[in-house]
Amino acid sequence: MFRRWKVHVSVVLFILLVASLSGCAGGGVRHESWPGSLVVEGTLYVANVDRVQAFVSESGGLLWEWYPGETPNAAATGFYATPVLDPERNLLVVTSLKGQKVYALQLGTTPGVVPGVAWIYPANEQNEIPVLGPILRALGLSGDREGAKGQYVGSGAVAGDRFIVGNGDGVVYALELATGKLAWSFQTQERVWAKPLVIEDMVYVASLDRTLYALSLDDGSLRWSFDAVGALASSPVVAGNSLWFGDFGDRIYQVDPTTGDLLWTFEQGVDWFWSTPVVDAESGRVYFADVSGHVYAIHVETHALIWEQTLEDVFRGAGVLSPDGETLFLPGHDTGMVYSLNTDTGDTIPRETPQNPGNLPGDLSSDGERLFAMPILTQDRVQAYDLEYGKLVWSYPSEEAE
Amino acid sequence: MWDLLIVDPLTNLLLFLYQVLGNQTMIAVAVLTLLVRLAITPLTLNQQKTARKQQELQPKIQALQEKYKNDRDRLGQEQLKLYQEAGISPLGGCLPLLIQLPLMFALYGAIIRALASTPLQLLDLASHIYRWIPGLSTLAPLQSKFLWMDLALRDPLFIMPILVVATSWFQQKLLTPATSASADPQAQQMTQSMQITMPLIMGFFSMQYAAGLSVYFVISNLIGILQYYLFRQHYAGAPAANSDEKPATRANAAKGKPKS
Repeated sequence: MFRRWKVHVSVVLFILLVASLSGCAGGGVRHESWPGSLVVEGTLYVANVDRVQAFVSESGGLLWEWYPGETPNAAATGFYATPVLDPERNLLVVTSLKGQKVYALQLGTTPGVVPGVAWIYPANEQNEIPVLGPILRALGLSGDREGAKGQYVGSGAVAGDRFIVGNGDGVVYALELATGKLAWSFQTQERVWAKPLVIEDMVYVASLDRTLYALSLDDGSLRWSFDAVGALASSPVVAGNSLWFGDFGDRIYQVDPTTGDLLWTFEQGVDWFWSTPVVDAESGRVYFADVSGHVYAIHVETHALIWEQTLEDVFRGAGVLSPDGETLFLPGHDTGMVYSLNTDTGDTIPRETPQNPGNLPGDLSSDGERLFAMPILTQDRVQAYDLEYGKLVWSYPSEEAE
Repeated sequence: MWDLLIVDPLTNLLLFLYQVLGNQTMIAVAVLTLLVRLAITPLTLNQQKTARKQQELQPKIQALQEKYKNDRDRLGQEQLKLYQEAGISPLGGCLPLLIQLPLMFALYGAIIRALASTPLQLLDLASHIYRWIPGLSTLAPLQSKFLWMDLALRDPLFIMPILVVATSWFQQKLLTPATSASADPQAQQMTQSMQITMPLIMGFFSMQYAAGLSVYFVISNLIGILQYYLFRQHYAGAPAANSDEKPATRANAAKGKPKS
């Protein structure tokens, strides 16, 4: 009898060991994150995998780094979303993918000082019993826990006294920036991965449930909704007094921001539009890029397709325009390459920008002189390129440090 | 190549089923599992027939083993001869398994890919959708809510892992050939061990991965059980219809003591 059980136990232990080792190996190599960056007055803020960092944008000098808890823990944290600044309160707000939390960091006036935590949403650490917790909740024997139940993928938006952010649980949360308390919430039918857009007293939220919602900033009540053909994973933008956005139905929409009426639609797309479009208000153009490398330049007023370009890459992250509006920079997910396109012709401009060994899924940012990109699936890096020539100015960790 | 030839067609078939079955992920997964299991039914039955014949030959094999215990070459030759006379290919039991297992892994891969719970998984799905099938690319992300579960995430109530363990155990119990009283005690022990450990392993995987995978496990097991009852005359351990030498019953096997 004892021998038989010894065989059982050995077989189980062996297989569990193999299973857990294979799980560890996979998780260790792949850091799931698509970090973005924010540049404000010479400081570059990034939230990447397990920590938030601030750099001198010109030199790449690390000013400070912060992570939740005692030690950095990618498995428990995981940052996808670009940090957001509340200039009025000097708060840097970051959202954690796996931790399902919103952190407001109080920035100091002295550079290099690690910020303190102003507030966390949800405020109370709610440790749930691993197995029994969800069961008790489902049976109604314990209360619903506060805070989001899904992952924060997209960034939030600062609007007056509020921080608005969507979550993987399909809920849009409006938090008081002063306290971190919940002001209101709005339930959509699917995950919300896009950054909300706030214009005056309206919040526009794109949801994977294929709907664009217009909510009141004041109380979160629904003003109107617009149904798209495919899921909406990227944020809408404002161009020519109307909202522009693309969907997973390969379409581009122009919608009236007040009524939600469809003004125009582009149906010649061939793949999903996931990257947030780039607007050039001066020339009246909006640029869309899809996940199979097609880039479109559309005139906002005439709806004319100015040019179309096809590149051998996947465009997920948002691009940026050069200050003179003559060059459009796009992050190539698959090759890790930053593409430079002439905004008049759509032709690629040869530059020194090297091909990264990893992917480039996150949004690009720029301080007017440099372009910031953050490749993944390689060493966790922040890279700054010269905007004019595409030359690598600095990277973190530095090549020497590696 | 693996993706292109096996996982991609299954992924797109799942998306197509989702499209035509009213955007119900659960039903689409169930129907896809059923289709794949039906497609490999001839292989399964063939494998079971071979297993049954091999089991029926066990007394003769043991006699040969006893007779030629000091002559391994002769033993091999005699065993081969016996198999040939009985019309059994020595690889007959393995080949179907070699085809079935990759298909099952591919099916699992297709389900996980189609459910795409994270942004990177969804981005990966985009490049595997057949654009030439109208409307397929607009389906993502699939509706993953079903009853208390999000099929793209783990079952928080652990009901699906329990169902996986129960159905796996029952299927394993039906499919495991009953061993004769004279069978090798070590083999008996291993068989009994597998009957318990395999369902536990399946349960462990169900706890670790998306609930959609558990749905696939449970449906697959139920189809396996149904197949057993429909085609039981082909299965080793089931009552034989026209056999000179009846296999040992489970009760006998359980009581059987190794001969000293």
